[in-house]
Amino acid sequence: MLKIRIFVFLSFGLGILFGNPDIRAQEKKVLRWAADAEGNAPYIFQDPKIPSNIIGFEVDIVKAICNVLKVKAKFVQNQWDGLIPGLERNDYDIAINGLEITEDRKQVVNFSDPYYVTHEQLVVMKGVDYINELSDLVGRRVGALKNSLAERILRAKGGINVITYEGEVNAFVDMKNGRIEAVLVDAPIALYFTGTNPEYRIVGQPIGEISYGIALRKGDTTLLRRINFAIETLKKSGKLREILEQWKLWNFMMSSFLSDFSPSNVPPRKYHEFLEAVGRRGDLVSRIWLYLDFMPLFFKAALVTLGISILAMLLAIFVGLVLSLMRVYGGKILSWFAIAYIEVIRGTPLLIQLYFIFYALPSIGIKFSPFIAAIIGLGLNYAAYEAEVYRSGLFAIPKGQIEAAISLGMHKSQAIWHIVIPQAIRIVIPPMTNDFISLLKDSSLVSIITMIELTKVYYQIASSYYDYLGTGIIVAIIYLLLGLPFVRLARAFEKRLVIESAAKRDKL
Amino acid sequence: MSEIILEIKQLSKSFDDHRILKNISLSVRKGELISIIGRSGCGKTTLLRCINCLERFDSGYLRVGGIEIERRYFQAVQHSKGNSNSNHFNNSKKYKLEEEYQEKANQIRSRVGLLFQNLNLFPHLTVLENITIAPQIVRKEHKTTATERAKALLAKVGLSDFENRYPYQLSGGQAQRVAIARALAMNPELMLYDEPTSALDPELVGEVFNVMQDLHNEGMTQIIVTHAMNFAKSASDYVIYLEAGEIVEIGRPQDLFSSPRDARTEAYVRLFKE
Repeated sequence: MLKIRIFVFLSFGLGILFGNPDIRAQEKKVLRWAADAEGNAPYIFQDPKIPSNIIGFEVDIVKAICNVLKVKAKFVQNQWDGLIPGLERNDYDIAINGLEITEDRKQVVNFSDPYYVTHEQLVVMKGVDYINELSDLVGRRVGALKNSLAERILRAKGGINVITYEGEVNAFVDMKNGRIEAVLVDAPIALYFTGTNPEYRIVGQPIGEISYGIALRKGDTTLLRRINFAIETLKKSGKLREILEQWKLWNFMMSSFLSDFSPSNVPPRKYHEFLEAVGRRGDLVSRIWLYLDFMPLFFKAALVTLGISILAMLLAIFVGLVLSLMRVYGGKILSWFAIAYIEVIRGTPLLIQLYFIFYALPSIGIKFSPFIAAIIGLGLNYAAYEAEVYRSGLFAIPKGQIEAAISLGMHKSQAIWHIVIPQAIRIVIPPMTNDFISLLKDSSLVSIITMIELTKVYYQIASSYYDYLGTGIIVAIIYLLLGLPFVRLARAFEKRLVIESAAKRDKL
Repeated sequence: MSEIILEIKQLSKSFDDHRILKNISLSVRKGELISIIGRSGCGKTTLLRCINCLERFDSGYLRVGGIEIERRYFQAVQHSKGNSNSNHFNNSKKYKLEEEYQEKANQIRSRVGLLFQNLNLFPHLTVLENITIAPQIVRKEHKTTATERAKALLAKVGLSDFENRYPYQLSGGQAQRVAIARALAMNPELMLYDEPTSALDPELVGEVFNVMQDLHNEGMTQIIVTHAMNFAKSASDYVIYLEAGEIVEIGRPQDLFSSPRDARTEAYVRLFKE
């Protein structure tokens, strides 16, 4: 009976997991474009004035393209590393975010014609006068973004100790702390970072050449032709130049690329707005005002984190209970299956599991939205741990309890459900609370599968404002506050349930 | 002569290679009170557990009321060796036998009440809930019906004021009486007691035996495994002496205690005379 019951539970559970409707359905006339809003000024970043707004020169270009094509732009947030895999997942139609047109990438996706041409630029600390060109770097520690043209240039030069970073802010902070002596980055980054951080400065001549293109799926050739047509239109109409000039990005390379050598006549309005807005963070008072501005964003993100955590925990409790019952009462085959599941899940990193669910499963036709994938990933992972907790809880109930129930005519499954589980719950509540608190914290990992939750918002804001400390403390406090009520709740619940202590029961 | 309510023929049970029960045959008539005595480890408890189908006997015949279970030796081999030995039986037939067994075992359990040495009241439920849970779940009784009967049963065992207490708030004798009421709530045809007073303080033993005596007067069939010779002597219709998994002697209490036929019985009974 029990076996049948578990099987029904299980298939019901799987039904929930895989019954998710395909979210691929897209409306016509909407161009879904993806980028990582994690603070790459001037590319795509949060508006310092209204943090929930996404701005940047690439945002302007996408809007202009959509204007030409007469379609509606729909922004899709995606981790920068995952922009190309996300195209293959069909989460969006195009990706644009400082994606350099390289031979490697061309193997996987199509690129539009370049919309911007620029170069690499050296940045050092103010007062460093012994670095002026590439050859000055030999024998020194130099930072660059991972997999960037800058990294390849530095490595090709030879003799340079290249340190790579995920984000440029980390590289600049490391340089300030003396761990590296120079940073080689794309010119727009250098321009905007040094503009808002006067202790850094740009040195030397332009190095190398980078072309940014819009990435599309290999198959989408019609869309590629339309995008190229739009870019061409923007180039001819001068709209592209206008956008770049507003952001102070018009450079000699663009001049020769577009054969347009006329003097600049559009003021770099958006560049100055950025400097002004970010400059606000100077003194403590304005900084606190700035943090208050972020609160709605943090609040929304905290709700997402909480929602994911609670739903994932519910899934973990359900699957964990089924697994533990399979393991304890399920007979050879079911218990073997449960053990295999638990060992595999506990023996592999959660991060890999999340990647697998989000990026690998779509290739065999199972596709989840980031929200569902996050819940499934966290839930199924924690189910393995919950199963072990419940197992020890079930074992802690004396065998005589089941026998007493069975000798009263109950089936084994009824005995487990009505007699064993209610008693086991008391035992497992404290460890479950601990698990929920860790799940809450582990939910920060789902930022890598494009979920915009608390940690992701922290990255976005911190890197937009080059402020990891203040926002970091705020986020830490929010995580702490999120967990507290559950600790309290569990304690109260526990108190109510523990009518008789284990010691008193032994008296019988 | 009233009808035979329990019948056992050639029942055997081993744990690993150790034979606990050897060819036990026994019949009990309705309304009888039987005491089983014997040294620790003689198989008394296992016999009770086999009658209630908590333990699966290896071979033999068991009938409780109209429910019969017969097992032959090779079935036990089948069971213990699991899937490895499918020559004698194909799996579906084995499964069918297993289903049949479980079904009958359940029917037997619902007719037989078993009281454990260490009580096993449900610690998370009140006294009242301990008594009502099985009727509600197993017999789908309505809560009010079950509660009404539970209250009557509690009155019968003299614990009317205790219905909202939790098991840990009871003395040993009270707990044992609750356990009896809990078993009675299922309207059993046969009550089995496994050393019901061995864990009790001497002054509490009487209250439990009184309940059993009352039930006897009402015509309940009862089998008691006990070390309390005085009760066995004074209250039982028959006494069974069990040694090393075999029934050595069955007799009227006065005969068995004063003039045992078997030397082994005599040796055991003498222990209590000094």
